[in-house]
Amino acid sequence: MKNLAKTILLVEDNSDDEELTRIAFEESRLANELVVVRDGEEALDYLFGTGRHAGRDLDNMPQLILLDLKLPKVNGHEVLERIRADARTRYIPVVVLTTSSEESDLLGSYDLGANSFIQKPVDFVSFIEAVRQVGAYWLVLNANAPH
Amino acid sequence: MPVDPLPALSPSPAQVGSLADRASGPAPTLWRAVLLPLLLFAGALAGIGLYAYGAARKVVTQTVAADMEAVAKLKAEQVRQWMDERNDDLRFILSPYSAAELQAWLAGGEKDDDRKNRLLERLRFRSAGHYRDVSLHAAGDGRLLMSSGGFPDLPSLRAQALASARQGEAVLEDIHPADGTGLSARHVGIFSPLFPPGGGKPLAVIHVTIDPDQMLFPLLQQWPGASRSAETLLLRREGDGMVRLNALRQGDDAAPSERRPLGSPGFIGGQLLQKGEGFIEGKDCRGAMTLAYGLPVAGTPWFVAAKIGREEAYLQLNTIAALSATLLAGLVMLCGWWLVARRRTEKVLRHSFREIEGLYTGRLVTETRLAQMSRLYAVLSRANQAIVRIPERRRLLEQICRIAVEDGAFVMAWAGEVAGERVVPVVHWGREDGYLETMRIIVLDRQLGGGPTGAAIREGRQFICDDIANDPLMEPWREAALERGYRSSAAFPIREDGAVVGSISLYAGEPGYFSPAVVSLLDDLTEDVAFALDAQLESVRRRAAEAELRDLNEELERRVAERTHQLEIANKELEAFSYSVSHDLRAPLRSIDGFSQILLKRYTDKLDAAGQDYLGRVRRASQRMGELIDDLLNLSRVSRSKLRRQEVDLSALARSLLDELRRLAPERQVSCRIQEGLRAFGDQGLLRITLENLLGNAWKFTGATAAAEIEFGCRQENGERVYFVRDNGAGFDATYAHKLFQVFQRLHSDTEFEGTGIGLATVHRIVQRHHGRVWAEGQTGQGATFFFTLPRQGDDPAPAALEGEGENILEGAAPTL
Repeated sequence: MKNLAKTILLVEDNSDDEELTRIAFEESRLANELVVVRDGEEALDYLFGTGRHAGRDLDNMPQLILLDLKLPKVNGHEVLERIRADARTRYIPVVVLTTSSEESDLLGSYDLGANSFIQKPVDFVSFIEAVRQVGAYWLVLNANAPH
Repeated sequence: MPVDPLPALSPSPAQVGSLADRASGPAPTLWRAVLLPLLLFAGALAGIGLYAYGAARKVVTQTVAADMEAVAKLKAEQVRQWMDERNDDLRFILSPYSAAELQAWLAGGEKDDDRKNRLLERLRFRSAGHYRDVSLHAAGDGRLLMSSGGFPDLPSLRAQALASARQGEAVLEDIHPADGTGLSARHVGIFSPLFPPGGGKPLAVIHVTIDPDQMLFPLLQQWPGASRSAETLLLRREGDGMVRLNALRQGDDAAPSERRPLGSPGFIGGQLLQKGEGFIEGKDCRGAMTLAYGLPVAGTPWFVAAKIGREEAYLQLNTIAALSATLLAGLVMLCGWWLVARRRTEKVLRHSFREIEGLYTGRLVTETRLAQMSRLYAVLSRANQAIVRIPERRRLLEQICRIAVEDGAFVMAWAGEVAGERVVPVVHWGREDGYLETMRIIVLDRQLGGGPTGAAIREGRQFICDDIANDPLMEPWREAALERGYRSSAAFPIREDGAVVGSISLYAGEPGYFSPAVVSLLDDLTEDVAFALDAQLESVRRRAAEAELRDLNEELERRVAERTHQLEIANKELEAFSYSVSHDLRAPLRSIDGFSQILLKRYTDKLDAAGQDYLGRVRRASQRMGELIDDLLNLSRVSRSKLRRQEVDLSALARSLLDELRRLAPERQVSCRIQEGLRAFGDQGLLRITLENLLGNAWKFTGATAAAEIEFGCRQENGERVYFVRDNGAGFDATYAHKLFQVFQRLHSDTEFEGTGIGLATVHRIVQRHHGRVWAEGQTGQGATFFFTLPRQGDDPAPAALEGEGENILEGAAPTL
């Protein structure tokens, strides 16, 4: 591992949500680097070092991916499918973080190999609590598969 | 009209005549006509049979007599031979050596007992086997010298021994019963003189006794061939009586038999003895008729007879005779039965023909009329076959015309159809020669429509022209008709659906052909045709109706498919819409709430109390809107999702929900009662939402009630399970009870009790989807009770098949999103 601070990849097209997520991380005292990509295509570019992220050092893989489902260009399920199909990213924990509470979204995510599915609550206090628990579990408590 | 009788259908005139003759003559009685001749014939046959039987019997008797004679003679010869053999035996028994010994013993004054014993022993030895005892008598006075059986010296034996010595030859001692002479057993004896070896006077007389059962009778009892009643008898005359000496082959009569008088009937032996040698026929001692032949045996006092039962002798003949008689009797009875049956059939036939004559032709009917009717019947029959087979009008009419000409011997037949005011010939058969081209029948025209066809169509009934040559109405067509051999004609209207649509016209080759009987039959024919045409019309209509129905069905199916397609689209749109609501409406709310919270937390020092209060209001409003959205999505999902019915433990569900409520508000004191073991068959998730809402409401509306109580239970009403959730909380104004389950309808202000007004609408939807009912009872301040039913699958008023995705969105209670 090159970086001691474990990177978190946030896939989120809504800048409000991005900001709120950042603050939630801050409030949760999680110091990890938060890499934000704005759509599914960029997320894949980042993960596989293509397009806008061509030449990125692929040894530096995020420790956790927070994935919204409703994304421009390539939607969250497709991104998830690609992540699980590629040997380099297969074992990275993916937490689906979405506004949707639709059953189809939930089942679809688990079918494609999501590790967790969290509906973003409207209440910000609840949201902060959710983010804190996600970070605590996936970044601290959980033993991830080695790259 | 050319007469062409059909033999199969009409009896020939000769037949009719003869039957009529026979019917008119006086019928002879059954006795005189049949039975008497038959009996005479049978009697004659029986006479001949009896005569033949007698003759055959004579022959058989002769044959049997010859047989009996042969057997009797054979037996007599055998007995005689047997005697000779015994004589030879005697010579053997007293060998020359023994003779010498005897001579020596006699010479020694009969005193040498040793010699006597040796001699006796020798005699015994030599006679052993065939003979019972052997004795020696003195030749001079016949006294007994010695005996192997210890015989007494009886005078009768002495006399016989003496006689034998005097005669110098063997003397037969007759068969005696065992006690006749005082000897030990029944026997036959032979005395024979013994001469010295050198010849001279006899030395002594030897006497041997024989068991006739052993040696003589078996000879007699042998019979050539198998026979039940054949016997050989050995008889002896005793004065004027006779005795049978031997035992019979059949039966166990004593032998010898008792003495019976000679010549008495019933004892054939006696009769034979009286007669001497010869054949007789008579009853034997058992009373059976017997054929017998008898003759004396030379050199003995005996008489041999061979006899056989007449029954057996005639058995074969009698069997044949009985068989023949039975056959003859059977044949005669058969003949009698046949003759009687024939007479009856004739009677029935005569009767039938009388009926036919009476019915169709009257007493004076001619054979022509019969043939005519028979042809018309053939026409009717074949036309009816055609009616059944041919489903099309023109082809049917053509076939009818053809049948009329071919089977009915009409010269020509045609059928026309009404077209406007004219009749147009459409089909014809027979000798037409362009006749129809000259026709111009105008139905309404008096002149041109005056012929039978025009009149028939105009007036809707049959019209007849009996004589074309002289009928003025036929004027326009007369010449053409006569040229072609038409002499009379008839036209019949054809109806379809009650209206006259055409006609059938028939032309006969003779005037006056169409008698009332003929017309009546042809009327039947046209009625049948009308019936067929109606049936065809009906069939066409039915097919049209079926086709219409099919089209309607297809149209309906098409519309259903279209509607289904539209519904599917609408459903997809609704899904997309609610997804969008779920996602896009909530996202801004999160921003509003989130940034308000950040402002409140991080920028508190820059806001006064009012500002902070307003931000709090912003947050509350956004959170409330979030709840609204969640509830609406819930309601939408409840309507859309597929029902997955299973057994659900409602009691357990209620318990866990109340536990959860207590956990969230541990400060509250609520007494909860849950009836145990309440189960229902439904969708677990949906029923959970139902109870969640009802118990949640109960919890909420008892918030201001001291000693709050919540009860979940079930009661039976009209055979139906009614679940209920009862509380003693705020209750509601019963006036508005009907509005409770409508979306966004609230009976309390937000300041009293918070709520979105969607929960009960959701409950209503869920219960409705389970085909149940939900209602509420309550009073303001008196608490509320919510009832609902969940029919089991079995008593589901609406089949589960109706449950499907997309169905629900059509229903009125679905929320307007």
